[in-house]
Amino acid sequence: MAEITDFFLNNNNGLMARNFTNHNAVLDKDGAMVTFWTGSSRLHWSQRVDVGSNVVSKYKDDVTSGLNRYGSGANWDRYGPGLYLANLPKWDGELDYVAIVASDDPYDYIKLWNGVRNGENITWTEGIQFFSTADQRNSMFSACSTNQAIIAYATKDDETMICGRVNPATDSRYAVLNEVTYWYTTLHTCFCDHDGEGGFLGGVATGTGLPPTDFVYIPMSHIDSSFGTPVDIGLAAVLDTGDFIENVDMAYDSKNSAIGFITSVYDDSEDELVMYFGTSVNAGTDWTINTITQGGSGTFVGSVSGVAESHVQIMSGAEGGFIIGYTAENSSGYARPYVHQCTINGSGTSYIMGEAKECGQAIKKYSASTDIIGPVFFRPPAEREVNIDPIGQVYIAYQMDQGNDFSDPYFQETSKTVSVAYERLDEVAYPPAAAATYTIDTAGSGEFVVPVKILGTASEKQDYYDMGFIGDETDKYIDAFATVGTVVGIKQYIPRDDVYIGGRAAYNSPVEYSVKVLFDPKSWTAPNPELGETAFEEYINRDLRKVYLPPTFYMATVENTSKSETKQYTVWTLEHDGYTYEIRQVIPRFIDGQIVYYEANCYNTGNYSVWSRGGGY
Amino acid sequence: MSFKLTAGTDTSRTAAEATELATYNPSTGVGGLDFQSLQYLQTRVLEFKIANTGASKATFTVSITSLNTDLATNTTLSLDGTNYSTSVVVYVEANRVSNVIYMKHFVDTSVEDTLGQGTIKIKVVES
Repeated sequence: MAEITDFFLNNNNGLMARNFTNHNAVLDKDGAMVTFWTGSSRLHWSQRVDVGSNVVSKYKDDVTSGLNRYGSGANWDRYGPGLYLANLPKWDGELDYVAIVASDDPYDYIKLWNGVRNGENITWTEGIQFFSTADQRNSMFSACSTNQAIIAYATKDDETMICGRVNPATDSRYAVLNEVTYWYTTLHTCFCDHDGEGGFLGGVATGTGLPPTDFVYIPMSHIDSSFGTPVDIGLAAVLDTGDFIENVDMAYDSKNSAIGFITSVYDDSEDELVMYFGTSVNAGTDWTINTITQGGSGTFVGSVSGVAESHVQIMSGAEGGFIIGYTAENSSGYARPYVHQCTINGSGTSYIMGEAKECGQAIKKYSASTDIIGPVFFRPPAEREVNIDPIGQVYIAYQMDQGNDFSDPYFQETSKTVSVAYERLDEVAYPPAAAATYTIDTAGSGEFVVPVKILGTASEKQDYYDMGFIGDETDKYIDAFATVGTVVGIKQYIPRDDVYIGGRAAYNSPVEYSVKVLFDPKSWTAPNPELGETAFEEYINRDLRKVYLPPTFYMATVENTSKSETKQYTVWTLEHDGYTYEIRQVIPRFIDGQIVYYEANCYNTGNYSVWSRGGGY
Repeated sequence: MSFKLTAGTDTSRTAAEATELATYNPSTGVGGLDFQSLQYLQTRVLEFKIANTGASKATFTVSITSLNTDLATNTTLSLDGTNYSTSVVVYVEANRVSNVIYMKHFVDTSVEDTLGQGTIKIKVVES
């Protein structure tokens, strides 16, 4: 089930900005999923951390960070600020996150904020400002990160795109890599992505007024960081008069030297968007443009923003291919996130766009008339790549509800609580296929049926005897245990899940067994302790015993989480010669693929509490 | 058909004396030949013989077939326990029993991604 974090957004487009493509959901180096958004002049974030089977969700309203747009008390632009989250894995311990924030306001700036994880909190410090304020007159911007640097694009003025690079660990100011003058009036958007080799690529959409006459891709040289010759990708050729670009995103598929982009285009009016998807398999030289068969029943027109919104996203896969996502209306007229899987053909020369899949499991906790704005893909940090096959393991975030109307014509100041939800794509969009099964053959004339049972991957927590890993060797050992084994009492304590307290009370009454086992004649030498002192050896002798159990005696363990969120496992104890031992480190032993015995260490429970440890082996 | 399958350990000299292997019963899971449980990358070899119950010398072509293509693909036969192929041909005198035929199944993770109980069939064609 999708997890939901409620927050007071104060920003309709805080998570899903319009006219920008926020990359603000990150799978960090610890495996935590962190989502950032902006609202009410502050940065907010929530994280979802998997600890075993426990999921810990945290929400943080970073009131004290002072990570404002450009001054205390100021609010974010009504269309949502551009927000790019970078995570630089090679600087562990020095820098955990870098947030780049900007807006399309003429006087906004692009600034780095360095965030350092401190347990459940992130401490933000103001970092380097990209470019000068005077350069930001049309500061539609994009950013990407390699493993060593943050790259940001912006417009310097009406005609020039500027690209800067910062290494937050070593640089005190940004370095302008390059400028390119190519367009004449308003820059609609720009975008970039790293190419997996430490370099990066840039792109820009532009036009001489409306409709756009050009949509160009501008490559960036690995060698000297210079801009290459802009390439007209041919989008204008498929557009009609009156169309203009609403939003663009781009990703670089390093495995196949392919670049993909998705764009939404206003079709004549501001209430209808058409999606286009373009790919190049030769590093941006030649492009193929296709219309996307959109999911849902039409364009989503925000009741708060008053205009069509797409919130397009694209993310590349480590082994090739892309996922694209956008917002559209479902058949009932409410906004929903849609995703498509785009796979590359066998020869790597073209892409096949899969059908639209609707997301939004979290709607089950809301009214069906709630709009869902999204998705944002959770991306790996910096140059790391995400595996999108199987696509069901990809996580997305989305925003429940639109908030309410603006109280200010320029800045965000809504007053309605909305929520961010997390969802795996196999929850709704790509449910797992039913488990395949084998067929039982029927013997015809001259035929003889032979069964075979495929078990798959081995695990120490399997009853191999019951599963048929038996034979003559197994029988020999069963006979040996019956003949020379020592009878001991073994107790199985199964944890309860209906109590708040820990310790022994969190376990049921034991199930008792009487079993013939074999003790290692000099148990305390295995595992190998530091021996040589008689008293110490005697102590170990009492404390630790190596024991062998018959192949028929499988000790199953179950894992429970008590009401106090404490994880507990089954505890097995062995009673022998007046001592009680806990059985741990159980290892199955095989001969010729047949289970012959289990080997285990037994620890004298007189010296520690098995209950506080939680049991398990 | 004038043959019967016998266990590889059956030392009967004549086909008449040989004990025919039990037919697999899906409801009980018991059969005369059984690969039992196999994990990924595990191999198991079964042995059987063909007893010619006919009145004259016969040639038997033994192969593997199944509705479960993956299982059949990874099951091979051999007359010497070393060289395995998809089928073997044995010549058996009248009322005699063949040498041991080896049947090997290897769980290849590149092919078999389904878990659970399945079956293959030994197909014997007399010519």
